[in-house]
Amino acid sequence: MSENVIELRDVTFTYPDGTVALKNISFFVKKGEVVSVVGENGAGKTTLCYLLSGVIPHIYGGVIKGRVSVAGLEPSKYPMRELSKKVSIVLQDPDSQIFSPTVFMEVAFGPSNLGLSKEEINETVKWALEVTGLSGLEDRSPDELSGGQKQRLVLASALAMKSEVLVLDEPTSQLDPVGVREVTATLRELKRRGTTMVITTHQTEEISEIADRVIVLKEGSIQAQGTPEEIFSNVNLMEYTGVKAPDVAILMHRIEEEWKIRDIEKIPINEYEAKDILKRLSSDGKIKIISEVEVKPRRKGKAIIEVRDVYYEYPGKVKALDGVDLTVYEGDFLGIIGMNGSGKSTLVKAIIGLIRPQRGKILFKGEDVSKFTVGELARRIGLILQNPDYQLFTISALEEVLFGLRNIGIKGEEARKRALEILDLVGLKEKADFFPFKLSFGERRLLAAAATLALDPEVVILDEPTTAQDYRGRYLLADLAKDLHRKGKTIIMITHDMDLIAKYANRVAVMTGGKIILDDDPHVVFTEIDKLRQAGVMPPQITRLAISMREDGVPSKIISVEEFLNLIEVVK
Amino acid sequence: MSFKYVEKDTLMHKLHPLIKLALLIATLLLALLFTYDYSIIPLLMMICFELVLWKIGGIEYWRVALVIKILLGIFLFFIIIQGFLYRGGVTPIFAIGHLELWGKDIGVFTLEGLIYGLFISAKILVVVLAAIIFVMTTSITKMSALMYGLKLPYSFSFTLLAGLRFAPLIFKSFSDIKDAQKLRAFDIDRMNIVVRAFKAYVPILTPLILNLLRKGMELQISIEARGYGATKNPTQLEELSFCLRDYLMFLLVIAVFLVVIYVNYTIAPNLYNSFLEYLRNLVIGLTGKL
Repeated sequence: MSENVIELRDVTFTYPDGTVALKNISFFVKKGEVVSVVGENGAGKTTLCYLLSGVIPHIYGGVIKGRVSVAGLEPSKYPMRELSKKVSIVLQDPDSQIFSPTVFMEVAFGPSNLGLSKEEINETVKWALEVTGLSGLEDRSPDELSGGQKQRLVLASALAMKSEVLVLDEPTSQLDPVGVREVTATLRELKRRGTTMVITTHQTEEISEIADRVIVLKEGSIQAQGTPEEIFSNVNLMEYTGVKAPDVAILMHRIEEEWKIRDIEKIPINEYEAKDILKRLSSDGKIKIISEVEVKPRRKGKAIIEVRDVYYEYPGKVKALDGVDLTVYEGDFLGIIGMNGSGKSTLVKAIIGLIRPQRGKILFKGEDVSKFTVGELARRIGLILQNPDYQLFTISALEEVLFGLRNIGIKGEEARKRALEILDLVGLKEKADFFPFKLSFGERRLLAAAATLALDPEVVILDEPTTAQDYRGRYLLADLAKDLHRKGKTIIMITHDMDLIAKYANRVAVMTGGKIILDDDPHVVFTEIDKLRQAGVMPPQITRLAISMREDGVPSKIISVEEFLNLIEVVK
Repeated sequence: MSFKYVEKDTLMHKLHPLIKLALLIATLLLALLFTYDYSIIPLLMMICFELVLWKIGGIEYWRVALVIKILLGIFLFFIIIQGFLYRGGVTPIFAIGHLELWGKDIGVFTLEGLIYGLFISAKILVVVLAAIIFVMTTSITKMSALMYGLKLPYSFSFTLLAGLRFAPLIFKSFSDIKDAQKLRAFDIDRMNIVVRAFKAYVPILTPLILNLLRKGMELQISIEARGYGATKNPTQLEELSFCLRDYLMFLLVIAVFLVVIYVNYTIAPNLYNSFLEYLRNLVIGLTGKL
């Protein structure tokens, strides 16, 4: 059982444009082992996945130096159709990987290409759907599945190839929390069945339950290798390589560093270990935990957006909004959370006038929004979309901002001046002449944001500002929003990233089934575990730690590591 | 995303796709064969037959509403054009002016022109209905099996079917991108038609094409990583067979087709003429009073 299924020796890979994506990589993966690869965007994670699966060099070109061996084959020497029997790959976006009309056909596509008999195919499909928990959905159209189900379908299709190695490139980064949990559970099941997997991810909390070993990449080189505990508890390493360390690891690390408490043997990565350590420290009399916490009441400004009893149904009787009431006040930094399909995107579409509710009214500063066109409303309420590639089309970053200004009739020198100011605000002034598609994904998002902000809206809405971003990049947009908030703008964020809410929002509304079920300060909302579960979301790890220690006198209204640290007093 | 096959348990869904294809071919023949305006009568008979099949197939109107709306627009265009320009037009309904051109006063909207416009619309409608019935009640699995049965090469049928699956996704991207650009105060709906045709679509089509290219790459990875082309003859998952129901339905389609043809060449011209005469008198009576 100790044979190496994957072997990389001194592998360096250079893309045709000269970018060196991997530098001197060497590692081995044993049969049945699950290896996770972490690192910031651009660290070389995707390149590594492509290299292992033969996508490089068969679909994307470049120069490979060193030796790559997967399941006994050298990927560059065999065509994809041969490699596909040995190694399967799953990518981020399920929508661009599914092409069949039914679930059954999708999974059967691979085996039928291999020319298996009909009985064998039926058997294989049945097995693959069972492993991924999709049994019974054979005849459904993939369009009707949720994000998590779609990605599990992609997994099932890969499994049906019965290959020896499964390579997964950020399989959960486009999913909502429920989808992440579903796919994580499937991966755990695969591990139990002895599948060899290489998984790249940003989700440290989830992967630590599955991975046997973690490899940390930075700028194409391996920085460290070890068990999830060894790697994720190394807060300094995580900081250096741009990977999210678990909240509790940061908490313990800071207790250790700042108060020189030396008897924490091992920095924990989950809240159960953290709880034990804290309890031990306090019973040993090393620390005291204060049980008072003060939540500052929020001051209410003037109402700026009023949503009154709004209903919306998509064709085919799909109810998206089921009587929503929401008043947004000036100075709010409001987060709207909920699963995909909870109605949060539909609500935003209704606010910016892209759809007309069938019942109810939406007012902007007392005026019915249905009086405005989308274009007119865009000057008052700016929406920064998830996918910047739906908006960018010009030859330079500057032109991109000028486009919006021209649409509202600002031209010439004044437009140029204003555009440069906005680019400066988002930190892209030096790149004003760059071709938008040459910018990184994060920069493209900032550019699309700049294009929206150029219209100088009073309310700024951010749609999933952290999706598909690494730990460092994920807060760039939110930081920008914070800056705007300080300058007096009202901010709304739609997200399922609880850390984001904890860090920025001063108010949070939870949606499920087209209704708002909670609307309050994040400190209050995050302690409503049952209602949050109903909405399919979980509070941040640090809040979960606080809640689990309620009996030990820890107040549960804790949403950041900073707040938790303030509770702890060191006994001298 | 609505104009696509929906799984249902109806007679039309269970029918062998070849029969539905036969219906489509029959309607195409009718549309090509019928050139005189009196053929509107047999065409209407065929349309009634199709509507019955539509009902049996349980096709929901809203799923095809967009297609029908676009069609109605086209029909209206035909009716207006023919109403004013049809050279056999002798019974004026109303006039917006007078201009003699090629021996016809094109400022006058005539009854005959109106009916000729309706006739052309019916020719299109008869084919479109058959196509809608085919697409909405035939799963892609069955289409694939049909193409296999018709001995089309695998690479061809795979491309066609993948295209069928992606067409709605492309439409969705198009409308998402259009919305995204509207958010930048780009009021495409308020632009006049000339600006729209030449400039307005640049901000929409550029991102659309770039995104499709990216998606195409991922799709290629996903197809190739699953052994596409590993054998020349991939296993066929569904085999089609004829049953009594299919034979009966085939006979029915042929029978309706023949009856329609028969009516067209026997009683339709006279029936149409007397009906037209009645309409003419009606119109003259009405316009005469004004």
